Amino acid sequence: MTKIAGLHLERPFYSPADVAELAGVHPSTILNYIRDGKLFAIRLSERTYRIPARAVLRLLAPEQLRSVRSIDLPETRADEWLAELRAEHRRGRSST
Amino acid sequence: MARGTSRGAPPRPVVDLTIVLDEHQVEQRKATIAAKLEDLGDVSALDSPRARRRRLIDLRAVAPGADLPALALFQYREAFERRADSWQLIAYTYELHDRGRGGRRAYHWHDDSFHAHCLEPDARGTSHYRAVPMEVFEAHDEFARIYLGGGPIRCGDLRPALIG
Repeated sequence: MTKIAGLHLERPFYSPADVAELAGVHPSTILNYIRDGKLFAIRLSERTYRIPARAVLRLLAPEQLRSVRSIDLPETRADEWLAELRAEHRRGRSST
Repeated sequence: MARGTSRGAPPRPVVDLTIVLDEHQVEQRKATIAAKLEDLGDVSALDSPRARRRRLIDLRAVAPGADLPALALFQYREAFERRADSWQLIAYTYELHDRGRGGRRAYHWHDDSFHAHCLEPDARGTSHYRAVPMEVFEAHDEFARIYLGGGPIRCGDLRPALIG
């Protein structure tokens, strides 16, 4: 698959036909990529696939992607989070 | 993990949620979840890897990414507790937030309680629903399907939690 420099996507989701047009290949090539796990898509119905914009970029313009941002948390964060969960749980139960 | 049932209720399926991972496996799990999220949006990975007793892993993706306006937040958090030279999963929250229309769908496990939260667009408060133990990848598939389906978050398929 040829990479595309400066690919600008305007929509959050694409169909296999859309991606095929962007890539200049036949839609069946895109369906094969989905089947082989090279392109992420969700099958909404027998004939409908939806491909997120970021998966399109991963396939056609990976250099444009932001890499995963890693952030260190303080050691106490796990206990704080568990306390927050318990508080939300109590509030939820009282309003259910 | 076996769960109690109230009288007359059908027996709950026993799902073993005992997840004990060594350091390398925790890193692998993080990388696998992050890779799945990277298909949907810009990913942040928050972690307390040097924690001695409890460790929180918080992976989130703002979708769709690709410099487009945010439509959804996927946030998966897991707390692990130290067991000798490994980490045991002790709590999780797997959440989908609709940033455009509002709405939230979440699966929680903490303090021996498996439950869901769900809020449709324009609804208020936080509602509790019944839920079974869930692996992060199962929740992710469900959330990805909701998000890519393009419709609002709905709660009609969930059953209200029993108060007690």
